Order: sequence, then C-alpha cells, then structure tokens
Amino acid sequence: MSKKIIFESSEGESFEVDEAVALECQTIKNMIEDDCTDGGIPLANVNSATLTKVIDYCKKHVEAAAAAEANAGDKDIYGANKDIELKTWDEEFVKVDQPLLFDLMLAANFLIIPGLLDLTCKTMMRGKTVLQIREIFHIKKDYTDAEEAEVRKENAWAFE
Amino acid sequence: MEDNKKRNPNSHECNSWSELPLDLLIMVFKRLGFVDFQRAKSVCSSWLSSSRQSVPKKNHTPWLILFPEEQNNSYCKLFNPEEKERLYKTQDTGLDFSKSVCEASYGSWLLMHDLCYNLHIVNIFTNERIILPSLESQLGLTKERRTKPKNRILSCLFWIDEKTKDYVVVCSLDNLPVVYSKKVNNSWKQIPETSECLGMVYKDHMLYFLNYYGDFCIFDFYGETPQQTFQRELKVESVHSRKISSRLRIVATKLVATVTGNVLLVQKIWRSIPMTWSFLVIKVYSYSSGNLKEHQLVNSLGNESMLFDQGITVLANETNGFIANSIYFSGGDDKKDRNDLFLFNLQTHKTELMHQFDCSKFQFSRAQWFLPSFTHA
Repeated sequence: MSKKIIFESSEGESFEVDEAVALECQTIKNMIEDDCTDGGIPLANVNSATLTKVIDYCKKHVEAAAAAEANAGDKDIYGANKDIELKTWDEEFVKVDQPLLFDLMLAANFLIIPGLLDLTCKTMMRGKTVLQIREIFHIKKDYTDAEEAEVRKENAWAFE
Repeated sequence: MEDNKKRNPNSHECNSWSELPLDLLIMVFKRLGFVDFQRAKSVCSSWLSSSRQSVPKKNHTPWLILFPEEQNNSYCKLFNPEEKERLYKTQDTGLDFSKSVCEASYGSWLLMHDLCYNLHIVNIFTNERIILPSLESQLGLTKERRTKPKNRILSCLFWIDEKTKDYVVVCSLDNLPVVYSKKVNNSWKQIPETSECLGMVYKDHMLYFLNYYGDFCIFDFYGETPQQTFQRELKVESVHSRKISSRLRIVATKLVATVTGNVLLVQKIWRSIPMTWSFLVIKVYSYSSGNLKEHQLVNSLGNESMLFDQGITVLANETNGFIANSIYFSGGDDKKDRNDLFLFNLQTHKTELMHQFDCSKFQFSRAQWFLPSFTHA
C-alpha cells in the first residue's frame, strides 16, 4: 500500500493521490522530503478543475515511466511506440479552452512540473499568427502605428 | 458576487495573458520553437521586451524560397516544412526574378546577381540589401569578355554576421583564381593558386577548396588575408574524369560541410540506362578530429539529410519531416532551371520526387533551400 498525499484545491476540495504521483511536482517533492505534508497540502492558487487535470497528467506520466522501465530491455522494440503514444496523449490533454490552459501553465509553474510547463507553453502559441494570438488571448496591441509598422516590416511573414 | 464570478468565468482570464508576469513570459519564450518565438515577439510591446531577454532556439529546419516564374513579379513564396499547409509571401523585393539568379544562401540571406553580374546580398525577411563591389571593374573584365562563357561565375558562396553585417563572399570564375570580397576592404581580391575550382565550401571562417587536379586546400579567413593552412592531394579517380563509363556521367561535384564536423566530396552521377541519379559520397576532411589519413567512402549520413545544392547538412527529425540519410537535390543542373526537387536515399539508392513539399499549384517552380536565422534585435 503506497503512501497517499492529500491536496486541497482553492475551493477547499480534497484530492487524494499516490505519493508517486505527487512526486512529479518538484515543489511537493521538496515538501515530502521536508516531511511537512501531514494533514494535506493546501493549494490556494489552484482550483479544482485545474487540479483534476494536473493530477491526470502526473498519473499518466508516472504510469508511462513505470511501463517504460518494465520494458527497458525491449526498449528498441517498444520504446518508440510508447513515446508516440504518450505524445499523442499529451496533445489530447492540452486540447482545453484558453482559461484552463492558462491556469494549467500557472499551476505547472507553481508546482514545478517541467513536462507540463513545456507542454502548455508550446501549446499556447503553436501555429498561430500574430493577429490570431492577439485575438485568442485578448491582447491589446500597445504599439504605436509607427512601431507596429516597424515590427511588421521585420517580421511580415508572421502576420500572414 | 459568487454568482457573477460563476456566470462569467472568463472575465478575469481575458486580461491575464497580456498581464503575465515578466518572469513567466520569459519562461514561455524560452520554451517556444523557432517559428512560434518569432511570431509571439510581434504580439505586443511587453512580449517583445520579454523575447529580448530570452534566446530563441536555433532553427534547424530549412525553408524553401520559391522564385516566381512570370516577369515583373517581385514577390517570392516561402515554404516551411513544419507548416505544410501554409505558404508565406515575402515583401516586395524590388527585383525582377526573371532577370535575377540566386547563387547561394546563408541564414536568411541570399546572394543574387542580375544578368550583368551585379552582385548583392539580400535578407529575405527584412529586405535589407548589401551591394557588393562590381566583379567587372575589379577583374578587368570588359563587357564583351564577360558575356563569353569562359568568364562566367562557376560558383559563389558567402557568410554574413547577422549583427555586425561583416561578410565574406567567395566566387570562382572560369580561368581565374578564386576571388573573395570582405566588408572591410570592399573590393575583390584573388586567392593565389586557386584556379580550376571544382568545389568549395565555407564553414566557421574556413574555406575548403578542391580543384580539378585533386588538390584539396583549407584557407583560414580569420585574419586580414586568407592563409592556407592545409593542403593534400586527393587520389579520387572520379575527380579527374567527368565520365566514369559510357553509362555513368558525373553531372555535378560539390564539397559539403556537415553539421557533425566533416567535409564531404559529393558527386552527382547520371546513369543513362536506366535513367537515374546516384551519388558518390567521400569523406575528405574532419574538422573536429583533424586530418584523415586517407579519404573514406561514406555509406551512411546517419541522422543527417544533405542539401546538395547548398553544400550543407541538417539534422532530420519528425518535426521538420526531413528523411535521414538522404540527399535532397534539384533536377536541373543549370541554376536558372531548378525545376523539381528530388531526394536520393543512401540506403535504398532510390530517388524519388519530393511529394510532401509539393508546391506545384502555386506556379513557383524555381526553388532554393535556406536556413532562416532571424536577427535578434
């Protein structure tokens, strides 16, 4: 029976996870090592919806790592397929709306989950033009017309 | 209040993206691939300043520039293999491409000349232009002599520093030693004993040179004038003769500098029966481990793909879609007539048309690879 860790979301909801899953978060790992996880870990800046996703992510990656280790001897045969499978899973995982993606990124940053941080940062911009990024993320262009012209001149292709 | 929050959960997130704290933005930028980085930095001023504090990943995916066919069209199309569904358009270059020839590329820069051999270097993205000194005056070529084929440009290559705009341009001309021009002297100078150029390649301030007699030399361009630092004779039979047999003919010879630190001699061979291309790859020098005792036949490029016409290799991976251990080349041997692009697989020895980069519907058939490198202003 593995040790359990209890997370508490910003709404006060409790989430029980295996210690191995919690260890995916560098921040939690440090807390576990310092032995200050008794009575649950309150995550005041992570809401339940985000936490559910974060736990999903950590679980999947713990499982994948365990499976990879079990197949270590046959890595040449199965390794590549497993990598592709996990990659596909990751791609599906981040097909979420912008606010949740944003929260996931903040949570990954706060909990220090390098893989998730990488994934969310890349997903944020992938394949979008400058104008699309502005629209999707509701970013006001704060350039003056002259500055905008300068930026466009240097990077015209990025606006197409 | 509670209700309001639930009904409009996006209201607060709407602004969050542009208000991302600087350290988080820098962190995002650090993780972006090359193309996304370039786009994201144009979004707003806070993103631009964050981008300046993070170094973009070096781009390893070459793009294709497709020159227009029709007259009076001064736009080119750009194709990024990582975004197959897209085709970008350059700014108005002010050049008539039906009268200009692209000789070489380095980073985002092209070396172009018009029909009168006026040379210039132009940046594909910013349109910045550097006019090179005239070959005609420096070499004493008259108009009449120049038009004779014996004085034509055989090949050109160049290097440019994105920041300082220091450049080195090297040209081999028929019946003359190789000439070079640097930003500092703004004229053409000859490199002694470099006639009969068969192939050359420039990498990390070194010019690798091979002539028809099989003499292979290295010139160091770090100093004011190029210094020959190495010379040996290559005993490669096919260097001396153009025809290997009645059915095999060498149609092009190149020196290629690989990303893993080798200089290769690559010969493109046309076989008349059946009508196919093949390639002979010989390692002549290793700049990481120094001189080779003798040249070696190369059977595999490992995970590299060679861009034959550009004299470089790139690392193949699943993002850029390049096929490892393959040679990418254009069908025509004349620079003005580079129609179809092919790839030759060194393992299977099969040549195929480059289908995944099919751009036929766009009416741009002259294509050249280049490896975009954006100035990091």
